[in-house]
Parts: sequence; structure tokens; C-alpha cells
Amino acid sequence: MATKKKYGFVIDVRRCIGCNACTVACKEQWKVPVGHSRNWVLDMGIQGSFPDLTQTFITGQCMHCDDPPCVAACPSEATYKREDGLVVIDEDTCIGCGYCIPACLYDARFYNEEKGVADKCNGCFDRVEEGELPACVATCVGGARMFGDLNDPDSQVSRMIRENQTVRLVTDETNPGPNVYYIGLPEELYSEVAPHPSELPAAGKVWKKGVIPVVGLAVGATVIGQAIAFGAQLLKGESIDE
Amino acid sequence: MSAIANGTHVVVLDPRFTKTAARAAEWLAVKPGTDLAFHLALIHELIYNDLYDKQFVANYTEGFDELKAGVKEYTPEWAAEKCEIPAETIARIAQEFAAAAPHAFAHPGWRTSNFLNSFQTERAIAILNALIGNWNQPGGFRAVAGEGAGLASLPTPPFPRVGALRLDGVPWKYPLVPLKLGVFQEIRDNALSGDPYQAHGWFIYRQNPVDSIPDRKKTLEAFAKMDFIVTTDIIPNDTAWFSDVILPEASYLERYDPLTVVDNTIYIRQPAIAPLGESKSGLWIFKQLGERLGLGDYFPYADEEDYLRQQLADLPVTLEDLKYQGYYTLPPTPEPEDLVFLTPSGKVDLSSATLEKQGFDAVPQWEEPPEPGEGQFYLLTGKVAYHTQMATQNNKYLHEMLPQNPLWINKGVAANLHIKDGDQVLVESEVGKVPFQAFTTEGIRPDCVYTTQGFGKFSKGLRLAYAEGGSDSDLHVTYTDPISGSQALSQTMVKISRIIG
Repeated sequence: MATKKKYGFVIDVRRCIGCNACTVACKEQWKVPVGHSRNWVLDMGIQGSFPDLTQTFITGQCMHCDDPPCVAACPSEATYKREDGLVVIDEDTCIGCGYCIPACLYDARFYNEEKGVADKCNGCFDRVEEGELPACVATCVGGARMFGDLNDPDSQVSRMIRENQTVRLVTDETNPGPNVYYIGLPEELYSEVAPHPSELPAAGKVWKKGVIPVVGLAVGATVIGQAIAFGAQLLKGESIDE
Repeated sequence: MSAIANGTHVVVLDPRFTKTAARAAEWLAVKPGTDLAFHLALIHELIYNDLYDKQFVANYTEGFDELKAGVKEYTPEWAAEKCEIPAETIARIAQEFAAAAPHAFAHPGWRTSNFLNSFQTERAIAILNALIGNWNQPGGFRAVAGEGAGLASLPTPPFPRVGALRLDGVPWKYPLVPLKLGVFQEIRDNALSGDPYQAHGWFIYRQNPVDSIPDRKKTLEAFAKMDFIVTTDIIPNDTAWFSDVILPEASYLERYDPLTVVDNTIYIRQPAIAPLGESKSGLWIFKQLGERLGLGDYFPYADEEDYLRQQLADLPVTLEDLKYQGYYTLPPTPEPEDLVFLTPSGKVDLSSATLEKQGFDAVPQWEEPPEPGEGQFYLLTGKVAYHTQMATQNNKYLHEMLPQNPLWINKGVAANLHIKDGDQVLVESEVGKVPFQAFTTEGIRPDCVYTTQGFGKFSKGLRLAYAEGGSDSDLHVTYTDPISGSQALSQTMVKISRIIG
């Protein structure tokens, strides 16, 4: 039996030129509304004193985690992890509650007002199924973005991970098993891109225990607006019990 | 980036810390206009330290002795005074460049017309490459066969002789500028002065002079003297906005263009979708105009596809194959036995008789560029990765990336002028005043300010980009290089002040 696929990204920070071609390609591919993007290039700005300067660009997107907190947080099971490792959102099932948005430790999710659903990188799963690379990887000018099967030892990503020192964006406290490996990420910048502690420690539990039946009734009915309001409340940090 | 990953050592010369500089091994904050001094010193070091490729120089160059005599004074110590890069650094880079030869190159740069001495700067760069003999060497420059090989030309009647002087001054004022290039800003100036004759109409295609040539006010004054202006473009750009007629061309995704050859491969541009609105291909527009002017014989094609088929007449490939494949690689031609350069001597002219005959320096010589006066700054311009020339500022996604163009000001200088990051500042040159948003940074020399091109649009047809940011063309003073006809854009000096309230 062939080994199961496990898709992931490798990002060589040393090769990123900060052109944002990845961001624009993704926006065009998925018609992402103005004001949002599914991936990003973090420009750390020009650091140092003239003329001893550096500038680093750190590109990123959904980490397609092994243990994704967004999946745990989703009450309608719209967000799920595919067999091939990609974490995706079924827009038909998503109720737009926004609960997954703060659950993500990397701020990779946003609320798509045009569609009324949560939105994020889906690894261009449809392109990948056709044997193509994700749009951001295919367009990457500097060759900083790489994508492939982490379970295949002959894939470019496996080779890069084997041949280079890589880091994943985790801390001792927070490690959802991200599947994006960074090469050449300056150590002094780790804190800038580290996962933030989960803002909803008991979130998944509360939903699963008490709220799902209620939302379950509401899904597909007229109460979606309430669910959104609910989500908005949670975003403001208010607890469900209040 | 692959070359860097493979160990290429990149040195960037720029008064500004660009993204290229950010990825390079070394950034040298050269004083504007003095790149020539830096390169002359490298030439000096290669020659006087015996670090050049004697065989290549003997076989493929002319005028070495004149060059050697001509650069005698240009030591690293001399250049250090001019370009504000330490003499030891210049000498070291010369050594490292020679050590890496022939797998090394001095890059000719991209937008190269910055000062009136830029032509000789480019020559100095070409000479450096010849001195290390990097032609057809891995990591050096590759010689290619002539352009257009293999494609047939369409049969047209002979073109009538034009009796009048060309309005752009070529060749009567600019004898060395190639006829097919011309001097755009000179058309504007001569239209305005009525000398050598008064122009009445202007047909503009794939150019946007309102944005792209210096001194926008002057360009609009020249437009006002015209009876009739036609612009063909894919967007309602600033030039189209001031035209009598706009002929909308289909974008590159919607049209056929004549086939082009790069190296030994023919590439096709074909429509991915049908043209939107009333737009048409350039081939269609010009044929229609020709026919209506009674000049149909000069456009001997039924439609776009027929034009391309005629181009392919002599080749064993059909248009259908080309459309499917996207390109066609010509059968390999035998490698030329020897390198031949497109110069009068067929070799690299280290000393140029052509230039000498027209009264210019045969060997690049130092020409002192102007400097900013009290309270003035060099106004630098340059591209950004997000936008293509002056054409994409209205694209929804690219506009989102960079909606306007901030003015880079050195942090220390800004503090002295009480300018904070994000403040509105007024930039004034001899010919214009433009407000910009300040971006204060360590990434630029204290004697410079910088902004990118293509903003400050007049055209309300550009719904997103209209009136966003400022136009550097409003500030640029027109300086034309007498050799190349290029605009020396960085010779414009400006004053800056904070806008209060």
C-alpha cells in the first residue's frame, strides 16, 4: 500500500524578496475580498543603523497543523483535515460563527463578509489534485515557497528539510504540529512569528458539550444571524456563560 | 536568488537600501551620480594590477592602450573621494571580481539613465566585463544570435521618403541615438517651441508621456498646442485622459501580437479570452486605420491569425501547432566559430572611434555630476516589485499592495526637519510642487529622498489610482543626455518641508 500523503510547505526565508506575488496570486486564484488575504509577507522593516542594515521578509499562511485547534473549535464540522493533511473549510457547511478565527494560533483565518464564512488557505487542494502546485508556490519569484508530500522522501520539501536546518513555529507551551517548515529564519525574529497562546482554552469543550445541539438546530434555519452574533461576542472575549 | 543560494557574492551599489540590497552580501551606499567613478577605479585596478584577461583583450577588444592611458588617474583613493566608498573596499572588490573571473559580471543595471554621465557609466561596466572576458562563460554573459531570425516579413510597398526633419531630433541633434528608439521628450519640447516646425497632431501608442517624461506641466502645455491627439492603450491612462480620441487596445490576455523570437525560440501571444468591451488588438486597429486612409497595401493581412501565418511561411511549424505548444524552438544553428560584436570593429571598443568622431570621450572619462545645494536633496526614483512601469497602479490587487507612493527620507534628516513618519511633506523642484506622505527610514543616504513612479494620476478613468500619491514627473527637470537621448532623472534637486495642519 502506498504511504498516505501528508502535504506541507517549506519556506526559505533567505530567498523571499518581499514582492508579495504569492499574496496576489492567491487573491486572484480564490477571489479573496479586498482587505483580506489568505497568505502574507511579514516585512520586518529596515533594521539597524545606516549603512549597516538588514531586512527580512517572512511569508506564511495556514500551517495545516497535525492537531488543528480550528477543527476542534468548529461547531458545524465545516473545517476539517483531509486525508492528505490539508485543512480546509466546506463553505456550504460553515455557518459563519467565526469561532475558528481566534482559535487559530497563527491568525491565519478571517471572516469573509462576501460569502459569510470563515476563510483561509486551503493549500489549493483542487490544483494539487490536478498535479499542479499551489498558486503561491507556482508564482514565487525568488523560489522561497515550496510545497509537496512530507511523507515522500524524494519530494523537494522532504529533501529541503533533510538538507537544511529548519524550524517550525511552535513554543514549549503551544505546538499544534504545524506543517510549514522555515529555513533561514533569524533566531531574533522567532518571537515575531511564534504562535500566540490559545485565546479560547476551553472553547472546543464548551461548544462540543453544550452548544452543538443548539447550533445544530439552528443550522440552515433563520438563526444563523444569531450564531454570527454569538461568534462576534466570543471574538470580543466574552464568555458563553455570561 | 538561485545564484545567491549557489554561492554568488552580490554587491549592490545604490544610494538606497532596496530589496535587492536586502538580499545581497554587500550594500554600498554610493553617492548619486558617482557610479562612474567607482567603475573607473575597478578598471584601473584590473589594468594596473595586471588582473585582466590578456587573451580575451588581445582577441576581442580594440583600444586597450588608449583605455590604459585614459584611466591612469582613477585610483581607488581618487574614487573614494567622489563616491564616498572607502578606497580599501573598492580595491578589495576589484581583487574579488578578478579572482572570480571569468565567472563574474558587472550588471548593467535596470533603469540606467540617472545622470548625464550615465552613458559613460554603462560603457565602463561593459568594459569591465570585457576585461575579465566573461562572454560565453558560465556565470558571465551569453552571446546570442540576431533577433527575429526565421520569421518572414510581410510584403509591403516601399515606404515613401520622409523629407522633414524628425521632430525628436534624431539624428540631426542626437546623431548617435538609434532611429528606432528616438528621444521622446524632444518631441514634446519641439512641439512646444514650434522648431523646426509646428506639429499639429500626435498619435500615441504604448507610451504614456504625461506620466513618463519629465516636467508634466510642460508636457500638458505641448498637448494644448495640438489640434488632435489619439491614444491607443489598454487602460484610460493619463495621456488618454487628455486625448481627443482613445482607441482601446485589448489587453495581452485578449489579443494576438506579432510573433517574437527570443534567442532561437518563437513565442506566441494569443487571446485567453475574447476582448472585453470595444477593445481590439493593435494589429486590427492599425489595419483599419490604414484602410480608411487609403493605405491598405501597407497592411497585407486579412486578420491577426493571417498575419502570424505569414510570419511562419518559411518555417516547418503551423500556427495551430504554435497555438497549442505556445512556443517553437528553431533547429539549432551551428555555434558561431567566433564571437562577433555589433560594433564597427566587430570587437569590444574599449576606445570608441564612433564617439570620438562626434566629439565625445572615446574612453570613459570622469564627468562631475551636479550636487544638491543648501537645503536640497537628490530626488531618486526607482521601481517597486508590485507595479509594472506606470500601468498597474489601478489594478485592484496591486493597488491594495501599494495604494500610494511614500517619500523616503533619512530618519536623522527627517528629525532635523521635524518630519515624523506618516506626515505630509511638500516636495519642491525647479518645475513643480507635490505633496507626499513621508516614510522615514535608515535605508537611504541623508542627501537623498526617493519615491516610486506612476502615482498622482490625473485620469478619473483610473477609479482606484486617481489622485493617489504624487507624480515624480511633476518634479523632474528635463535633462537629456546628448549621446543616448536618455532622461537624466536623478539630476533633479528638491527641497522638502512638512505640511502643517
